[in-house]
Amino acid sequence: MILYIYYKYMHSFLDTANVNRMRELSVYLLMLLWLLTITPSLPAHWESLSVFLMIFLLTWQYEAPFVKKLSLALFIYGSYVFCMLFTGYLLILFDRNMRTDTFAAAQSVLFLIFMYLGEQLAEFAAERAGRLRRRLAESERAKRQLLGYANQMAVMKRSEEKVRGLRHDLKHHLNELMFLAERDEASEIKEYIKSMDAFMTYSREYVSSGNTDIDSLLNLMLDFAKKELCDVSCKVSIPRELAIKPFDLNVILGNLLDNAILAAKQTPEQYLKVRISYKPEMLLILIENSYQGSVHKYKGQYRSTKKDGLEHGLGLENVRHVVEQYDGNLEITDENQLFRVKAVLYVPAQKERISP
Amino acid sequence: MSVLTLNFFTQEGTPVYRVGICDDEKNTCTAIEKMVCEYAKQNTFTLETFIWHTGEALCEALAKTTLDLLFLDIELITTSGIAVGRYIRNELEYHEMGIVYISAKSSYAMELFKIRPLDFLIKPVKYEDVAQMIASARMLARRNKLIFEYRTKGNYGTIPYKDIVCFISDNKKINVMTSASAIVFNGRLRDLLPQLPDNFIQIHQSYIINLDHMLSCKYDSVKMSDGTQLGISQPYRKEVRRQIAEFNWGE
Repeated sequence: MILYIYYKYMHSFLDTANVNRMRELSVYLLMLLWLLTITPSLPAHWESLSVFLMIFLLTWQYEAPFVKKLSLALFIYGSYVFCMLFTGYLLILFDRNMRTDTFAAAQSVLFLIFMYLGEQLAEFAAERAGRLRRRLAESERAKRQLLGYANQMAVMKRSEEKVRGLRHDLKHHLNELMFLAERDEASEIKEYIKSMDAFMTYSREYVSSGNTDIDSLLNLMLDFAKKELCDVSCKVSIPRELAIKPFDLNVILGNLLDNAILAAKQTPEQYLKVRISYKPEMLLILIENSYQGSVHKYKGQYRSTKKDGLEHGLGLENVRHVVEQYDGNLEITDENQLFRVKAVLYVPAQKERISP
Repeated sequence: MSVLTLNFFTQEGTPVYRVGICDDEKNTCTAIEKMVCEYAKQNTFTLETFIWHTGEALCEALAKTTLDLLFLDIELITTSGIAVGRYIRNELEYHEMGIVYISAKSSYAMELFKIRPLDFLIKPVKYEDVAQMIASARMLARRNKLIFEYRTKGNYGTIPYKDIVCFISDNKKINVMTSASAIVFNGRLRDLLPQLPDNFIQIHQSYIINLDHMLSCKYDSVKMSDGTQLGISQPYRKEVRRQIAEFNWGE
């Protein structure tokens, strides 16, 4: 019974994904044997120490930082000692002549109740924390989407203004060009046209696929990337009418680009490449960036190197989740200081028009 | 139609690489032609370029001649690039020619993707882009020249890989499906797969498809150029997605 409680504790606090089931079971059986045979024969102070050691040993089957294991073992042991003392106190209060086995039984029952309550509490807290974290991530995305739209509006407005400005001065420009042409100054004409072109194109519009959702998000992210990195390239060839929810797109591209920009920023190359293309019914995304140092891998999955514990590896997890909703694949590779993410999503063509 | 043949270090028997350009703006045609020739000169291969200024002229010419690569403007004045592309793929059933769409805008209609273009380029076209297109189209052309050999009833037969839509196995027999015919020979897909070019992938215990002939792909089925619909079975789905991504982004 006590061992089962230990087991529950280990599972709710430590990472249990990579555990060999058979080995786990045999370790617990060994502990049971130890508890039944050796522990009772030890002197009192050795007995409690052996319990602590046993719990601590149990934690070593699982993957977790050392401090976490130690604190978990200490916590369980602490509650054990507390229960022993508390029953001792009850004994003094009520019945000094209680038999030792009744005393031991009371001790274990109290310990069991205590641990069970503790476990329930921890689970409840974890669930609350998870919900909170999800809500935080969601609001973050909503904010970015809004920001993206605002940015896109500004970008479009500025482009439009530039074209209008040029049109306003068109007569003047034509006069100038005609004047240069009459004097056969080809190089000057070229120079003049080049400056007109430079005036017309607005440098902060990187993507104009006609798909407002993708454009707004990518223009926002790439503007940020261009400020932070020196080698940024992006090519998007997709149909205007793509049936993908802006929210999902935001999760995928937002998270992947966030990670890529952050990683590339710490390298001398500062390299980022974004390619998005479409084959009938399939959206293909490729994001490549330079990275330095180690990639954090845990349970065979990539973890972020970000320091904030709350968001640990959550971004990629969300991306994977959304990609799976589109029956897709997310493939991540890292070699030669190059981090590469390939995503495939099944995006059905727009519903065909119903013929009368 | 103007024809320009360039011979740089021509080797005996080397097939001439044929590039077509179709745009109503004469300057764009000239610019691309210059870049194509520059690339051929740098990479020392023989090349022929053809220029058309209308979609009608192009369609008429394509009925008689073949091309390896076509740079096609989307916004042609009389017929659109979409109509020309549809004519090439559906009417002429000309699947192996690489089509590169060029346009001043980077906003594309869904219809364009059904023509399975090699890529899209934005005007003004850059040399690196053109170079990259020719490089990948040449790789395609090299692959399209490969020939599949099989033996049936003691006779040897050959089919160009580019004509094979898919292999379907049926009880120790393999059916080779092309748009025109079906050939049966004895064998197992397991033995066949390793010897095929990389555009062939297995999607089912008894299907191997040619990605160049794939019209569209859902997560559980593919539609091929000859109209057949084949299911992707559960154990192959993940691998199919991975291979398509790999194939698309190149390696």
